[in-house]
Amino acid sequence: MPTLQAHDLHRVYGSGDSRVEALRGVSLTVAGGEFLAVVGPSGCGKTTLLHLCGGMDRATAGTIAVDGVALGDLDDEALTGLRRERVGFVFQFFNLLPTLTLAENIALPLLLAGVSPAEGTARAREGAERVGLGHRLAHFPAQVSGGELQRAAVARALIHKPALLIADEPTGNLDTESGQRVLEVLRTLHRETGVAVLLATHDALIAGAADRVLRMRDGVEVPATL
Amino acid sequence: MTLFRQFIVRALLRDRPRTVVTVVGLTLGVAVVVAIRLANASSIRGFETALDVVAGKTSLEIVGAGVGVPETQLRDLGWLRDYGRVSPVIDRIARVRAPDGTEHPVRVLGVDVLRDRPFREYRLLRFARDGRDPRPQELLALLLDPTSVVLTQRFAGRHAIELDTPVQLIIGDRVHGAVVRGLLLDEGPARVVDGQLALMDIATAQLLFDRLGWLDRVEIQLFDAETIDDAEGAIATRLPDGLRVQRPAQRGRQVERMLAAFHFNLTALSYIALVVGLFLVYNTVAVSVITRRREIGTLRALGATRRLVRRLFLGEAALLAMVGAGLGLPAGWLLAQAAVRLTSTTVNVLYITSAATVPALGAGDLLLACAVAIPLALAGAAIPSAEAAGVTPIAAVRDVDRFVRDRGVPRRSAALAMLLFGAGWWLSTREAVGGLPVFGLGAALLVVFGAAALVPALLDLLRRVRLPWRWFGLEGLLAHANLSASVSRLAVSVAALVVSLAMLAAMAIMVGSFRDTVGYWVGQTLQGDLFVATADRAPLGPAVTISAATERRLAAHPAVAALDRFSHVDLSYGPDRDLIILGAGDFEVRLEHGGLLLKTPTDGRAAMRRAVGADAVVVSESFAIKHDVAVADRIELDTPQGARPFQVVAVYYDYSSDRGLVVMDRTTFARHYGAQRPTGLTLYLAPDADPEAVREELLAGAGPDHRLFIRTNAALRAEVLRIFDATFAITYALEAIAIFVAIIGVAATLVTLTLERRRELAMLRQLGAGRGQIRRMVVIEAAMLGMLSQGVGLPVGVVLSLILIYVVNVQSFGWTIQFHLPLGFLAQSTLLIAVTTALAGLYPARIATRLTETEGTSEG
Amino acid sequence: MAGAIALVTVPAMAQESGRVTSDGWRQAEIGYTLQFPRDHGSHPDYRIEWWYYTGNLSSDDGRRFGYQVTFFRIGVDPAPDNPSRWAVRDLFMAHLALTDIGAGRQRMAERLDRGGVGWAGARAGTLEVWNGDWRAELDGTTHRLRAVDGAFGVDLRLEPGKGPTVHGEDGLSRKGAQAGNASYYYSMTRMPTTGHLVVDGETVAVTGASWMDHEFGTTFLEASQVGWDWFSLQLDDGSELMVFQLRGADGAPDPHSAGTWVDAAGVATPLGAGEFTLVPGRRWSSPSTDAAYPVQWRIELPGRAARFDISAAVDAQELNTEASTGVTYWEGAVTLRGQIGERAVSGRGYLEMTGYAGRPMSEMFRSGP
Repeated sequence: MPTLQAHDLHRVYGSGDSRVEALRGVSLTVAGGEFLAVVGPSGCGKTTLLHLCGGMDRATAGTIAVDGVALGDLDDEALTGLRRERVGFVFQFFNLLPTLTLAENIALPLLLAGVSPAEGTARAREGAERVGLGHRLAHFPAQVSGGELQRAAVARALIHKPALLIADEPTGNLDTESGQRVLEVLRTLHRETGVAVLLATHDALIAGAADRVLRMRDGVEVPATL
Repeated sequence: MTLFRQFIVRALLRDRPRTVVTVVGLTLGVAVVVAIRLANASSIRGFETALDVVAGKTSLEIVGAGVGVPETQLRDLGWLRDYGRVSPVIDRIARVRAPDGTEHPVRVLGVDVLRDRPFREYRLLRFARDGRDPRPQELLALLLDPTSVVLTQRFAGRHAIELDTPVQLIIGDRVHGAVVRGLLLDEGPARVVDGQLALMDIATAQLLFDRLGWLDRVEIQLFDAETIDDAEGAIATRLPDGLRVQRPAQRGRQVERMLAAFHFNLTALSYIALVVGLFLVYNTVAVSVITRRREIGTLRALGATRRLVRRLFLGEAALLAMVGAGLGLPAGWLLAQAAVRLTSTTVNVLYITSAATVPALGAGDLLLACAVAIPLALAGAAIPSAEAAGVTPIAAVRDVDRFVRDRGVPRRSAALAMLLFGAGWWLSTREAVGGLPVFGLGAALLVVFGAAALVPALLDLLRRVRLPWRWFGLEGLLAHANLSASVSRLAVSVAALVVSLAMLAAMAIMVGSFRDTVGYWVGQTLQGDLFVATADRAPLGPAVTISAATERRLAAHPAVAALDRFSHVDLSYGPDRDLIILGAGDFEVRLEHGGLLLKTPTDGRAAMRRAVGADAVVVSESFAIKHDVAVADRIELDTPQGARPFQVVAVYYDYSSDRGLVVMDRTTFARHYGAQRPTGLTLYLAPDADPEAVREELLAGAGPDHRLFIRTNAALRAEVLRIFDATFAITYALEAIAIFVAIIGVAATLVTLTLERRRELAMLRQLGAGRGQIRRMVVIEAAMLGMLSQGVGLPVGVVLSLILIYVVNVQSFGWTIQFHLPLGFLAQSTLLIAVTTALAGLYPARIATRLTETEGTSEG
Repeated sequence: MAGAIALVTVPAMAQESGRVTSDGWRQAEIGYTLQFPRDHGSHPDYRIEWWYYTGNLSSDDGRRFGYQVTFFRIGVDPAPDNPSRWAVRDLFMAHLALTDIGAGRQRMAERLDRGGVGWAGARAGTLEVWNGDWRAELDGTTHRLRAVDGAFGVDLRLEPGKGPTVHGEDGLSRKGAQAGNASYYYSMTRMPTTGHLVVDGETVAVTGASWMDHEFGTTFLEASQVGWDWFSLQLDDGSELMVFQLRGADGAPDPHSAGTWVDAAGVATPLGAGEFTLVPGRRWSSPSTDAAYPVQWRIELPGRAARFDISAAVDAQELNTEASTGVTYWEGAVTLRGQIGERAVSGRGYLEMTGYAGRPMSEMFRSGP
């Protein structure tokens, strides 16, 4: 069973004159342990696709199944539970909570899942060390660099051992060097944990790290043309 | 809980100014409510503890009509022995002059210790040293001497009074030399009344307090307390006319009911501060939710449920409320101390002389404060919390689903306002419930809510109306545009301010009108030249008298043309046994010299002339209203001979007491109630006499055994208005607090708006707006809100004041107040509000300028 | 003879005799003639006055009882300045005691009151003395005596019997060497009694004989006198004996001890201190006060060749009157066996012993309470 299976996804925003079709029938499959990159220019719908696949948003039409669970069948609470347990997110703007230390940010998914704070802290420490942030545990987000923030975000996204990691332009807001480090960390962890990765980028270099690439334009998949 | 600490508590600590403002607002709100409750409780409690002490282990008591129990009737009550022990009591107020010359009121119990010993604790220091209680004969021996008085150890200690040393007792106009023959141990009852208790022999008390032949009550301690219901009934049927049996708590209930209207109004007022606190919580949580949308979205994306998010923000409100309650409690206690001091004039003058102390705070108070503050805070946070719960995970990355303006809101709000106003009008026509203006205040409340409901509609109107905002330059135009864009967000804060300002205007109008009316009444009524009173004008309970010697001396002064002797006693009246005041005056003298502001009939003098010596009375307006009595009606008054009919010949205006006065001619009074010494004298001087000079002469003529207070007409008028102002000082203080909290609310709202608009502000900056312009814009917004609120608040305030004057006041106190607009005050307050709200805008203005800088660099 | 004298009309001014002390009370001195029923009434000019009823009664089924009802009036201030009715001129006290001889138990109650509005008082001119609902009054010549305290009490009719017997010199009973330390004192020595008692809440019809003492004066005892032993005895031959012995601090009999012999015909003969001896016998120690009261006595009247052995009907007849007079004393029913000459006699009576516990009696009866 593939980790992620999406079929004929549509997403429409607004209505009437302001109606925008962000996705117009996209299908994809990510097998367990597979790394799929979605590539396309700004506004091609890749971010929308990621949101739908991660259960952050609902499709106007089409089906999505994560680990065989059809998201369309889930109510908000169940969908939230799915995000909490099976999915990890890495955002372009890091989205670490400013009032939490890096360690606490990394432990957050565990906390939400009801793991005891003590265990959460221990596992967060471990996670932070794996992304090279063992010395930044007690720092608040405002005190560290963008690269470090994103590495912490990666650690947070994987701390609860999700089946699927969704990363939306993870290096989009970083300088090249920091972006490289984040990418390295991502690849290493992908290898080590065997998590399935769905990553959106417009950077061909990053896409090159993927097992497979899905190209998009104007809300539909376009054939790979070199 | 961990997340709450990390996500909410840290944010509160980080954003300290906003948190502090909210906590201060909540603290004040809670403090005001707690303070009023404690102050009310202390005045009631002051009386009740005094009652407890005085009642001792009494199960029932026999009381007479107004003047007390004629002791000759007691002789025939030997059968009371079948039910229990019987003890006659004189219960009065006197002052003790300590060796250092200071004077202190004490409650004096005149008892027959031989009978009274089972009723009360008589643990005296003198005997306690030997480790025993005094024998009855020893107690008697201590008290038998007519100079003997027993004080409490606590009182004596406080005023450096030694055992077996002389003190002076001041009773009415007499100064009585006494010797402290005993000190009650500082325990039990003596401690409860803070030691303000004195004991003397009943015979001495009768003599000193002009009570020869009379008892204040007869107490009964049943052999079998279980049978109290039967005994009460059986005794009631056997008692002769003019005497009644009741439980001691009855007196407490009477006083409680008497104070109920006063306390009810005060409590209602105090809740305004709390309502304003509710708006404040709304604001704070709303700001939280708005500024942390992205964080909330992240939480949601990471798997936080809607419920969790909602709970986090409700928790924020609850935490603020708990801190507010925790701080508000001690603050309220301190405030209550101040209020009790402030109202001690009021409550004492109007109601009770007692050792009113603010009760210590207990766990119960904390619970109560939390029980008030937390639900309120949760209610205030309900809407923003729901909004927070509605934030989608997408918000983590994208600004979507912001407010969608509902164009139907203004229309619906106007409709709701009309509905509320209509309901308010209907309620204002309802009768009082049990003497409390429940519906009247309900009407006021509905009008307030109506005004609040009207705010969105008015803001919408403001949006559409093209006023010359250009007067304020570009900033004014922008400010108007900004406000117009945030109607729904503003509505709540503006409503809070409107409510506060309307209440302020209403109170100002009501109190101003009242003061005018009282001033006019005093001018019309106080016609005497000199007014003679004793120091203790105890408004409740037995009045102290002026001795015959003094009266003769004053009457003999050549400049004194006439003398009006006034006595008053408390009398239970009507089916509810309300405590009214029964007065007696020299109607002849009053007809010739005095003034009386009659409401009905028009020819009051003729009516009064008919009442001279007849079984006829004039009643105060508040009596007439409360008991639904009109001229020519017959009312039944309790007399020592039983209930007797009296014809009402006139209703007169009176603002000296809300208890209701019934006044009869002295000769009528003496015929029914026996001759009583006057409690006050009014002197009318010869036309050419100089009142001040005569006053000096009369005072100088008093020997060392006498002490008098003589006021000239002008001094008494001033005194009346001074008392009046003291009465309403607490009202003003409460209002000031409510306004302060409301203005904090406006500042907080502007902070919200500013934060919400940070991108727009940043854009303005990028378009070239200077920091000063941004700041001016925000300040102008604040002032606009202030003026808008005042613009709505003022007319609503006028409506409210009409309800207060013509409904609430009449139902609570039964006074006619001539409506009068204190235009000067209202103009001043309007200006003050404009300035204050503008000043309140300075803080958000600073945030605005700071924000535009950071937004510009980090995300712009 | 004394009884006969008492019935002789006395001058109207008799009440005025006796000097007035500095604190306003009249002294009991020679020259006043007791007259009845007038002198059954109160004598408010004198500071101290009491009416004392004791008796031995029995029910139809043979249960035996002793009772005591005493009304005291103790003057405090003969003319208070304060016109209040509650101003204390006199204090009124009363003791009630009932001894159930068969059960070996005595119960007592006491009252202390001021006159006030008339809840306690004593009328002058005829017998009417009361304290609350306890009351002694004349009904014709019959003394009506009612005193019930909840579950016990008496409600009796006492016939005058032999009539009043005056003691001492024409009714003046000297108690000390100092003139004025005396009282006017008479007794009704054998009053046939009917009525009922309340015993433990139950009403019991009784008959028997009572003894009434009425005594008034201003100062009684001298400082050296700590107490007295007083006997009222009704012999089955129809005669009665009253003797009292004043005791000094050393326990020695005082020369002012005295008594009266009343023969069956009612003729009274005063007895001087030298004409009788009182010898205490077995003592009973009170568990509550530790006082040791002689509960057996031998009385000898050498002049009459009479010798009586007196025994308490019940040992425990101590009265603690802390709440009224503040005096602790023993007062109780006694039985008598003895002989006059060769003739054996028996009888009943009452014994009062004061000054064995607490303050000396002289403190009580010299100064105010």
